Amino acid sequence: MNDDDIRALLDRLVVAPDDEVGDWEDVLERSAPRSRAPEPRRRRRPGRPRWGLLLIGAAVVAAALVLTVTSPWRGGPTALDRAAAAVLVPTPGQILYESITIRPSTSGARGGVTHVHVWIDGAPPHRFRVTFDGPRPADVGGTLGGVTGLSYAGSHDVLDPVAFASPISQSDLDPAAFIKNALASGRAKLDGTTKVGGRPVLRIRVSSRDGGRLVPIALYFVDAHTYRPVRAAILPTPRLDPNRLGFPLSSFAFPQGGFFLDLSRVNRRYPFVGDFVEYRYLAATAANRKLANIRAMHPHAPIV
Amino acid sequence: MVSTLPDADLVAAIERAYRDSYPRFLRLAVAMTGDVDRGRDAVQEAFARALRSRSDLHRLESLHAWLWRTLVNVCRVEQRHPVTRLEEIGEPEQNGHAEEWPEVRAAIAALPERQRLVLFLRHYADLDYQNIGEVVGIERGTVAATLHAAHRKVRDAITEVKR
Repeated sequence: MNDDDIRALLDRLVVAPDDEVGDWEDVLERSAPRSRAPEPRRRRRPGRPRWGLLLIGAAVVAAALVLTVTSPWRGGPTALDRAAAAVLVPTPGQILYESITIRPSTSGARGGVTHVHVWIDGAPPHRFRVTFDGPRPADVGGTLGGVTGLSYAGSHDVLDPVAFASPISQSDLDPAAFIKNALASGRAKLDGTTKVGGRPVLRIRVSSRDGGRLVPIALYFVDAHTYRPVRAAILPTPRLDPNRLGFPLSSFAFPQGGFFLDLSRVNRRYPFVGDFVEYRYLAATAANRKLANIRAMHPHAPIV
Repeated sequence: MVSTLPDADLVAAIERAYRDSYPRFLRLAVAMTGDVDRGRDAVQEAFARALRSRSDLHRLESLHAWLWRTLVNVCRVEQRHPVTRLEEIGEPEQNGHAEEWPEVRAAIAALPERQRLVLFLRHYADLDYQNIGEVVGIERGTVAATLHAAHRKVRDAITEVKR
């Protein structure tokens, strides 16, 4: 065994993202003289940020599903309520497709850009599939009501069975319930107008109750004219257990440990931003149905 | 003694080192702290500390060794508050070799601190012997001997596992 062999071994022992870009602004901020005693630095728990990103993606998806409305929206809680009520799951003749680009905010220090794709089949048995790219890509699918699903391992071209923490319900995949609950308890509010990329948007603030108080957990931006989702920002929640905030898709836990679920692995210090590249209903053609069916997408991969 | 280097030059040089070599700094920090998040935090803190104490740097030529040394010191402080052991570094791959890792990790963890540090600086920071010597504060020849000893122990551990 020579030095190269040892290097290869050491490379395998330490998983550090080689494509990560540091956050110099954060360094400058930390180096600035402090005018008061610094808050104790909260130790972040060990984690795999990509899974966290995926979950953030799920929350972003939630925003998209809820805030896409087809009727005029004149603002105010009543309009929001109507908007939530108007949200429909894909009909049997539709496949909901979303493509979202997720990145840390400019003040964030973590990770690069991740592209998340989601397909939900409106027809029974309501298959769904979620993928995201990157050096460790994921491709997971299942059906509503199921407690198990499949995860495609591209390195071996096999499908691994995965168990969810609880049966996947409609509300797990249809984040309308999440926002409807937020509306019912007064946790989602119009928060003014602004611009994203020069485009006029409405800003909606969603909060979550924790310990008897409401804490902002996300901001959603929808086109001021079409109400289509434009951007979602997941806010840091350093003093809260993110697992208790009620983000959609939180039941996607695998027994072997944090896949979708472990929100505690999500960066707690910096907001993440998801920009919607596509958000549309696809016709339920055989080709489009296939996209929501993980087995159909990998027909030669054995289930191991 | 106070640095006579123009302050703007120093800040620019530190920023350039950060931007150019961030992945290497991160890899060393992850190796030393045993955790990606703690590693990130250590790199940020090390460079913040470097900015705060930049007036201590007297020669721009020493900048890189000084930065690495600062990072090593921050990581050492982090190591005093372990939440993750070296044995827990990384994630098992699905390539059939996962069973080798605990013993190898344990062997690395059992190395004397200097050997482990030199091993990490050589392989994760990709420093040459001269720079390692400057960071650790030992002669170049001592770096070679230390690294050789570390390699031998790692090899022995792997050989033992393969028996």
